[in-house]
Amino acid sequence: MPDAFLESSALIELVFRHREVQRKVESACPAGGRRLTSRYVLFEIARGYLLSLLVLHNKARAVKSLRELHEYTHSGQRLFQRHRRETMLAAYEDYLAHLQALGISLTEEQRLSHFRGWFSQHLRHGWRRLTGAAKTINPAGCREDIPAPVQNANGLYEQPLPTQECGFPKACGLDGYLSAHRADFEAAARALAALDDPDAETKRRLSALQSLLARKAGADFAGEHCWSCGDAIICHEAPIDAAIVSKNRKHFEPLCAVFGRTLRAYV
Amino acid sequence: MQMTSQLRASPRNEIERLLDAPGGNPLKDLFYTDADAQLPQIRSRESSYEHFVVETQPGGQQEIHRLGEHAEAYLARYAARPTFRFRWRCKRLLEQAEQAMALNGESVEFEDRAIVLWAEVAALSEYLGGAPEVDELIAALHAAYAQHVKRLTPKPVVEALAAVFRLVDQYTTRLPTKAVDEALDALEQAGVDLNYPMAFAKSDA
Repeated sequence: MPDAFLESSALIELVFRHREVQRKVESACPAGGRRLTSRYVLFEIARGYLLSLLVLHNKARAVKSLRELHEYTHSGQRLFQRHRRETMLAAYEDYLAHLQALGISLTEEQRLSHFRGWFSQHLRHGWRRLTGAAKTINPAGCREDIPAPVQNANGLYEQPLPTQECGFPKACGLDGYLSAHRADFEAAARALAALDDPDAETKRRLSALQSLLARKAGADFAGEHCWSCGDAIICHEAPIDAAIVSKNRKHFEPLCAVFGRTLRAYV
Repeated sequence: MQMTSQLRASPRNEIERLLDAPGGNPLKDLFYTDADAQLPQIRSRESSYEHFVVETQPGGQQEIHRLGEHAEAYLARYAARPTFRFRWRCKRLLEQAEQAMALNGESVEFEDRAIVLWAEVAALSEYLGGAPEVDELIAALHAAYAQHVKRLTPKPVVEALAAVFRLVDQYTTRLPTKAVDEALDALEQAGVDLNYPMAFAKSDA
């Protein structure tokens, strides 16, 4: 019975989404095997998905009405990165739909308190589940010191991540990992370059991968290059006998083919 | 690091304890005195309340007795804080949940009690805004309400509600985050999907 290796999209859905979506992830996992994930996946979720939710929560603490929050989430075209805006918007719209379905009459002040209350416990509960949903491995030597989000005296969540150190070879194990598996990542770069009509994310990944491979071992690199290569690193980290569980078939299928990993994608 | 945070937490806890304590104390008196000193020009004249009792004699004759007169600030000292009112409400809900738990979970009487209990859970919204941890609990209870309001309530869910109300009742001061998390765990173990509100949006993972 093979283990299931949960990459970021699958782990997020297992931990933060409602039960029907969780069941989809669970049914994609091979029966009887363990659930695995990696430290790199946790770091990726913390600096991406979770950070977006923390920003939204903290904004909700700063505004005076839910209407202000509505304007904030819907007028972010120029303010946020696209994925951050979409994560915030999705969470906010989920909440509004829930509030409507609840059918409980609330004043504007109560609606904002309700949102703050729900979101605050959702974040804390999500983090607790995130770190316990799967056994964490760390072949790439990603940072182990990812703190839990904590609320400060003003009720704002803080999660100081060591992202400033990304790109320094001694700050993590990526430099050594790329050197040890250089041939595999060169093959991945060739496979991505050969794809017909690659999307923007694949182009960014290819460029970052080429840049990382072109530099001398032990030299500094741009931290963003590591992040852009996320799917490739995660795919390679998965144990060879485990099935990678992902919603992201588009990006994982070519990588699994190169690295000889099994993909169990779900919709 | 831990020792530092304990040292920091101790005076804060003491201040919270004094503020939450019923009746007057030197800390509250200090705040009242400060407020009196800073706000005399802008504050409107303080209300004063006269209390009377009406005594009805056997023959129908009524007599009115004056009990006393109290300033608004004096009465405010004895008014319950929202968190206390929430706690008292939870204490009553605990009794209701325990009465339901004594019934057969398959019976009509049980479901009848559960329906009443859910209506009370929905009505907890009146305590929103009282304290962040109370808001968290109410939002989680409303997520449970949304899942069960239109279907039969399993008995373990009522038991979990009782566990939540019991937890609230245990804390006479501010509910710690740990207690809120414990309450959430109780709901989840009973089968409540705490992520239920995250049901509609497309995945952006």
